[in-house]
Amino acid sequence: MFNLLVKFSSWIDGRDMMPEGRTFEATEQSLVDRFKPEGQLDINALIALPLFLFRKHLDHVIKLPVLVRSREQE
Amino acid sequence: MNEHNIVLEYSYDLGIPPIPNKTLEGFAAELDIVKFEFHRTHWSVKDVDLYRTLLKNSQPRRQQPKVFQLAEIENIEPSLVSAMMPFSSNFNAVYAALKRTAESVGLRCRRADDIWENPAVIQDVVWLIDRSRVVICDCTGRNPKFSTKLASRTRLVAKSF
Repeated sequence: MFNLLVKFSSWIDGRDMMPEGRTFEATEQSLVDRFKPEGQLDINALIALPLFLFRKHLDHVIKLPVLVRSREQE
Repeated sequence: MNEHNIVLEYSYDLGIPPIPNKTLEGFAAELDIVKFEFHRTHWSVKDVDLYRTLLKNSQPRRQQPKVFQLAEIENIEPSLVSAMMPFSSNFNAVYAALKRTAESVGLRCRRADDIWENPAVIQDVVWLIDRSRVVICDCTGRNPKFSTKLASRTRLVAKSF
């Protein structure tokens, strides 16, 4: 199992953001239920999964980061 | 109105080489990534073994020798041991001992004459070596120079692993 994060612009080294409204797109409902029980993101469970970040440009090079921390921000 | 964001902190694993997007597109289906996902900012969770899939698809194609053939992707069988020795009945007892020993620890030991997958014996030998986790060579009857060369080669191979 892994996190797939896709962004239009470059990922900032070390720290970046993702709109909460874009979470769990193209994700099976059983996984949504598992990682967002009762509508709340289970951040700790998501952090435990490998992370795969990439930009949507075809010439971009993908690197595999390790998600070390995540939190919600207003 | 401010959008609610998820803040991510991450560090890159420098031991994993970068992967070009173009390469990824070739095996995206195996990662359960559909086409529109390449063009939309989002966060998805996939029920796929990421590292296994990347390893399988990122291996460079092997150089093909001219005299015999190798499988395009290396596929070592974890329980397979191959025994290399002269084609002579004098070595049957040695082979039988190797088979018993391998089986006692849950491994399968095979010699090229156990298999007949290719018209040429050399190809069966090559395939057996290529798929084996362990290769045991009986060098009985070879001269000392051969043993020295083999030892030096073996060390080189072990070092490269």
